[in-house]
Amino acid sequence: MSATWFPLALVLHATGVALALVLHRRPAACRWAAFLASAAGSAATFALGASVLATGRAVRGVLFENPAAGMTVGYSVDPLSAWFLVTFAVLAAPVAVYSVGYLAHGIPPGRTAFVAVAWNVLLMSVETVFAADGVLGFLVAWELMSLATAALVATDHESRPSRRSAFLYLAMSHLGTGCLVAGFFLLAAGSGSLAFADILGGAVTASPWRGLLFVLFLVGFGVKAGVVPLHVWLPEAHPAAPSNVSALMSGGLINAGLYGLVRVGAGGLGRPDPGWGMGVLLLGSVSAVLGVLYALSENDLKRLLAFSTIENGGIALMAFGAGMIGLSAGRPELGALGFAAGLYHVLNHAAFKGLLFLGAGGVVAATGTRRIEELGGLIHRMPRTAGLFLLGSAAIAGLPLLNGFASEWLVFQSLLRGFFFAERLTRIVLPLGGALLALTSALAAACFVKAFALTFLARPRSRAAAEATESSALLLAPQAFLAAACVALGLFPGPVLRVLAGVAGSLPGIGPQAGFTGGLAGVTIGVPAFDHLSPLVLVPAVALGLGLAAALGLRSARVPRRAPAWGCGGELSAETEYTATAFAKPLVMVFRGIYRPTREVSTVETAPYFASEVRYRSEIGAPFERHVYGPATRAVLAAAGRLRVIQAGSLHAYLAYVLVLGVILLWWLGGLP
Amino acid sequence: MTTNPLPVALFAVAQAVGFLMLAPLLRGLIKKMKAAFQLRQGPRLLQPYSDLAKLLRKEPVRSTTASWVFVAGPRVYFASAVTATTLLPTVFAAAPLEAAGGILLLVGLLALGRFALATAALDTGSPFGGMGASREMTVGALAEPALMLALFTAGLSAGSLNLGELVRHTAERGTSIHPGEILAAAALFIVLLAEAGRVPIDNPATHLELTMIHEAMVLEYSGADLALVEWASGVKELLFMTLLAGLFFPIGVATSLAPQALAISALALLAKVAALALLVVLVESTNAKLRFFRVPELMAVALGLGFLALAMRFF
Repeated sequence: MSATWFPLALVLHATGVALALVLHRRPAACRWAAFLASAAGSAATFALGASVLATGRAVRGVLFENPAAGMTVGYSVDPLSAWFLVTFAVLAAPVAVYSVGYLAHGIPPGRTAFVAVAWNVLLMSVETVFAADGVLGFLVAWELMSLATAALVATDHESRPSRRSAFLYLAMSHLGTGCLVAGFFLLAAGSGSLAFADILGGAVTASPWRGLLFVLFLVGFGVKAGVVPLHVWLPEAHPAAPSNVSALMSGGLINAGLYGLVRVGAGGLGRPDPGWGMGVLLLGSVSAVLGVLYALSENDLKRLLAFSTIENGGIALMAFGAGMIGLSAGRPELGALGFAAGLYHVLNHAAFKGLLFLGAGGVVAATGTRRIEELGGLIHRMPRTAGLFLLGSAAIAGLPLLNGFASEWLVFQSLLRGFFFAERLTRIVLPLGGALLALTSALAAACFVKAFALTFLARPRSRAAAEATESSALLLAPQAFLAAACVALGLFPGPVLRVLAGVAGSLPGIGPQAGFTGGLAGVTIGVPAFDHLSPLVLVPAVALGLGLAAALGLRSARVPRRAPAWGCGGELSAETEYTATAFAKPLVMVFRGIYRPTREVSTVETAPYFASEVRYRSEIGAPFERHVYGPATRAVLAAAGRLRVIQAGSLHAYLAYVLVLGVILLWWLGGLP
Repeated sequence: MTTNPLPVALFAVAQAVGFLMLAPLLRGLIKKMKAAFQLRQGPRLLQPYSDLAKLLRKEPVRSTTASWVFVAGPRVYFASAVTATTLLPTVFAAAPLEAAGGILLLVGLLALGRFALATAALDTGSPFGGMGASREMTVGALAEPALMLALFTAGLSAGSLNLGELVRHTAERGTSIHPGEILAAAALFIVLLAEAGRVPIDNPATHLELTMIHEAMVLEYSGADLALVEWASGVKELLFMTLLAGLFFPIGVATSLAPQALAISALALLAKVAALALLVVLVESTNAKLRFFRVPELMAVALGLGFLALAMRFF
């Protein structure tokens, strides 16, 4: 049975595409048909992934075969692929249901079929990326994934920023794909095979190209994972798409990059060199800290969430880095711990980031703005969205009993466990990574206090916010599902880790031993126990504490007296509220070395002592755009300008080039043995 | 460690109640000692109990713009602080809820309380709440890495992040203290000052809006809501002092349930907390509050101390 699930999922998505095209004149029917087909496809991949995770045996099959050319495109769902398929399905299915409701207002009705087609193509290609068993299928799916995403980012293609975002996304994607093609061809040239089982099975033990190969894959997959400094496209492209697509991109698509990094990092290229793990840990730390710092200073709700995606990708990378350091030190159990921690965080991130983007989508649909400064007070108008968004904020801030805490706790463990076995420099780098993770987590808490409180609390700061209405049940139910996932994944880390022990054990460099045990009661790290976590034990304690607090405040609960907050003699209004800019200001000042803020204050004076009008402008520097990509773009354009010399536009000249090239190639090949 | 749920629950409740009962006394003691330094009489030692009792009877007034988040904030803050106390070994070298988790869970619970209170502070629409919340989260974010490095130093020397295991390990080692651990203790003490809202980071006695952090955040609270915040803050301060004493000065901690050992341990703990309180008073009385944007420098000192502690302990 499980052998047919993967083709079934692809067929369901293809049905979605066909239905969307047939029903393109009837947007409502088109939405229901295409997105329910998509959700059904996700259910099929979930079932497939779950069965592989349960049995631990890979499911293989053939999708397309051309005996004449000797070409086969197949799929192979091993536990690692299954973990990513399950993660993707857990996010994609609720988001598809959300899309049915959201797209009714989120986009022009005439564009429904376009989005529905691109959506199903995207899902199909991402699932194939996770399941591909060889280079050919993988690269085709990878490219299709980039194109479908670019189409979705450009949904609102009348607006110039949307088009620019899509272009930036395509340009960066192709930089990455180029590196991947080069990497895979180098691998294939060495082994003469295009099947992952041959080239990523840990066979490359000694080759002068090993270092270059790893760097190529790191860049290629790093672009998709949003690793700093390859992240520049992410905060542009994720918010530009409709919110349902943003949720899928942030929670699901960066996982494609992380998946690739696990494939090559966890022994896929043989035992990692010591420098690789350090490099990944360093990149992860930088991504995590910079991601959360930029998120904190951001006042566009969706851009804030996109920057936080860079942060969470960084946290997963830190764990992978720690795992790779463990592997290179010959400690498979540390490798298992690091990769398990990172993979757990990937699943958790899909749940809470999906939830937050869907909530933000509800807010954008209700108010028409993404600017936090123009929101506020929505908890009175949209109580359910507010409650769910608060839960997502607490989860992403890494607070106990929710899933973000469980996986960040594991990342801490993977960093600290490595300490006992690492050599000189690595030994101090690991706890320092822990300190940076602590900083990231605390900054994320500040960031999401801002994201939630300034969006939903106090008074509305615009008319749109004051007149917002609650999202429909079709929008709220998927959020409730993801919120429930956040709670369940936080309360039961043990069973999740038991599954992850199997996933880590299936990786080529690790094998079946594990440095942690997970049961229903909780998780234990190391033998003898280094640390353990059982959230369930804490539940009655927290409940008792809350009960005591409620009992102590009982008198007040009976007679709540309401009065306007004291305004120092003046009257408080929406204008006197603390703003999002002001909230982030102290941290912007503290980290001004990173932010490089510029500000401009000009007073327009009319009365002798009081300014009648003050204009204030402040901006955060964009160092990567300015110092890396700006010069790089100019260099590429200049080189292209030079090359124009040979682009004469004359057909004869081009035919001559082909001839000359052909002769050179023949001469070169003839010289080979 | 017993695994039978009933004794564990009783132990946990007893410890939480103990913290709740003693926290106001600590506040009173610090106020009294501070007054002595300033040659004042000061309020009586038990005044904080009367204050709490009065506040708990008073009717709270809430802002008209506030939602349920404003009401939930102090309650979550209170519950998280009380729960955190059960993760800490005090008189006996084991924590009641040791089975739940170790240092990281403790830090996480305190972060939960801070998150809840800062979020709630933004609910009234008063700029003071926002100002306080923003500053509190800033100081919290800067203190966190230093706190973690200090705790890692202790945890990595003991080979465990489990607090009970940690204290047992340090208690077994007796009075020999590694110089690196003195630095870690110093880093943790600076974090304690920040978390408890003490001079030179914050001033618990002021109500001048430009200088305050924690007090600005809770400015809109009154009645029982305020009582919960005050009480929980006291518990948190006592908790940090107990943690500091337990991790770095484990002299006299009972490793058996013999009544004599427990009595000595309890007295030793009280003495250690009193000594730390005196240290806090000394710092408060001899320092001026730092300008807010100088606080990061102090936190950088704590971070540096934590790093040096780790480096000295292991290299």
